[in-house]
Amino acid sequence: MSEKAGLNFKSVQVLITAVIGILVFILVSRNLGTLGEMLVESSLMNGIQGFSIIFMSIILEAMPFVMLGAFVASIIQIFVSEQTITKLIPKNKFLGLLIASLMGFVFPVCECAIVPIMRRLLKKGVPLHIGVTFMLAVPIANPVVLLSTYYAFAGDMKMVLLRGVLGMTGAILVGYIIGQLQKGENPLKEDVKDVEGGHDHENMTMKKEGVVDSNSFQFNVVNTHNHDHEHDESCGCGHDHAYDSDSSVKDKIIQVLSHTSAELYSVGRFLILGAFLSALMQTLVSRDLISSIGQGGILSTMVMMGLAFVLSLCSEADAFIARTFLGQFTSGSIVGFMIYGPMIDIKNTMMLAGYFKSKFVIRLIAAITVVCFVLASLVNVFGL
Amino acid sequence: MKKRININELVWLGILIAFSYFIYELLISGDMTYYIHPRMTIYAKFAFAVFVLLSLVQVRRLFSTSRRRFKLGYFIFIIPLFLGFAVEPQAVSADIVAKKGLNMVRYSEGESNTDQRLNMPSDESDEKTDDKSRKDALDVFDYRQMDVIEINDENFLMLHEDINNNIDRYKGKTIITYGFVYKDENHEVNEFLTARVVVVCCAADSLITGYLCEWDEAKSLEHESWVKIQGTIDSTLYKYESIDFEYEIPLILVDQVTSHPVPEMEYIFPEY
Repeated sequence: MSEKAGLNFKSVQVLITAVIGILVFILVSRNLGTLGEMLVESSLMNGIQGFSIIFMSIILEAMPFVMLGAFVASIIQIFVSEQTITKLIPKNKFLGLLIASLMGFVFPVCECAIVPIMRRLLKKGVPLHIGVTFMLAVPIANPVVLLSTYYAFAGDMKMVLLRGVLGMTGAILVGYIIGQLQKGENPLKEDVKDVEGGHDHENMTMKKEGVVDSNSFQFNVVNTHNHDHEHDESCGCGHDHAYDSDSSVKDKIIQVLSHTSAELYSVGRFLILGAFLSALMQTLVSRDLISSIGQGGILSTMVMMGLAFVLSLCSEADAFIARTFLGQFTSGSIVGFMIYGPMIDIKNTMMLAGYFKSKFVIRLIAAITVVCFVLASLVNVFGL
Repeated sequence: MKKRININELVWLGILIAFSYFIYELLISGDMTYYIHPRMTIYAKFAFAVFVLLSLVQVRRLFSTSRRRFKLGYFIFIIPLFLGFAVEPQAVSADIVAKKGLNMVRYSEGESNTDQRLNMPSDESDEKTDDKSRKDALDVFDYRQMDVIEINDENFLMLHEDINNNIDRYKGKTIITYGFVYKDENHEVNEFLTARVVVVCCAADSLITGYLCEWDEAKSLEHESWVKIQGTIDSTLYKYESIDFEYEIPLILVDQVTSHPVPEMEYIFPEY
């Protein structure tokens, strides 16, 4: 439980120190930058600058959406109950998967925002296969992405349809496969003990389990209170986020913000790492290298999928890059690029690794890779 | 009772404030568009607002008690902050953009419906209105009639697509365009590209888009220098990258080359 820090003298002091610290940091960075320009050889400097701009651009572009994802996840956590979720999920497995794959048309969300939302849904009781299909389909089968694909390919509906249909199909297949592979095993990293209601918390200490590193924490719940709801302290911000109609609107807003802040920290780390690696790939991997590896048949599909993974482009923009491969790489490989990338890439992998156990992430990547490869190859086989 | 400052919370506060300021500065200076497409600016403003809100909420947590070790994860956030402030906002260099490839191919495999789609350069939404600015805007049908085609930032993409897809309609016409010179090992001595960097969403998806040009004195042109060229549209069979076949692309037979100032914003941003 956090203690209120009012605007007393101490906090003002602290704030001023913080601000001065930041100003110093900025000045030092800028000067180091200028120094670098003078000392470092120009083509290397160009590379560093190019890398940096690309790196920052990925972060600046993704950050608002990661925040949106964290917001929506918090809203779901605080305002939506497990009961509602259970009522909404269809009993028929296939129907559930189908609906999940169409959700992109209702909530067009990009890959960055979807991970926190998907995790929250899983915690609220959405079955894994539906959660996975939802996560994979939404970044592909949504109006924004399909429209941009339409424009990128100069109105060629064939590409739009292939991307949409195969994207949804792939998402459904992977969702189903993962559901089978995981078989009730919890894919999430943290194992939060959801405490059932109606008991006394006084002087009770609860420890969060599961994660080894800096995510583990301890908190003391001191007050006794009557309740008949569940607790969920999974985000580590020291707040009880369980669905509870007792707290005021203001409290809830602050809870949402606190939760978002903690979520931003936990997913932000991985976003930054992912962006770093992607930007690095962009600076180092050249088109000539790609082309030289292979342009026909199986190799082309593997190369294009590999490129999609490594470049980590937004699904709204990747069609424009994909189009430049027309005529040199097979159609199937280009479709493969456009369904594989939105489903999984370096950036996504990092973000997933932050939330899910590595065994699960590996299984997921394997399933996505196999399914997309098969679908892309089918396009080539049928000469579409 | 003595309240101790929670170091973790203080560092996170610093990070939140620093990001707020970083985004603020980019928005105010207009440099944000070196990183992202102008239409995404609104999302950046949203991110700024969120960072500010989170900073305010974070202040409340400065004295919260928790016996965590210092979170090493904070160092990860320092990296973009450092690079963001150290490296001056600028356009990505052409060589880095070129790694993703050059945009020089046909825009579609089969028949393109350019005629139906490209009837207007779109600035805002694509509704068919009787807006006066729409009536004044030129479309591909107008350009196809002209003998001299002058390319600028507004019609650049529309014409690049149309000329690439319908080379025959444009052969023999005079073209005036400007961009930076791009030469690499695959080009002949008398060849170069007059190109622009096109950004769809963010700098990470930037592409080099341009025209292949042929000029006797191409050797004298410096890579990445900005020029204005005038020439005649022709075509050539190009095998760049492809191992299997050649495809026809526009080729500009250049008559005149003059130097051109670097534009205020070097990127071209598609609107659709």
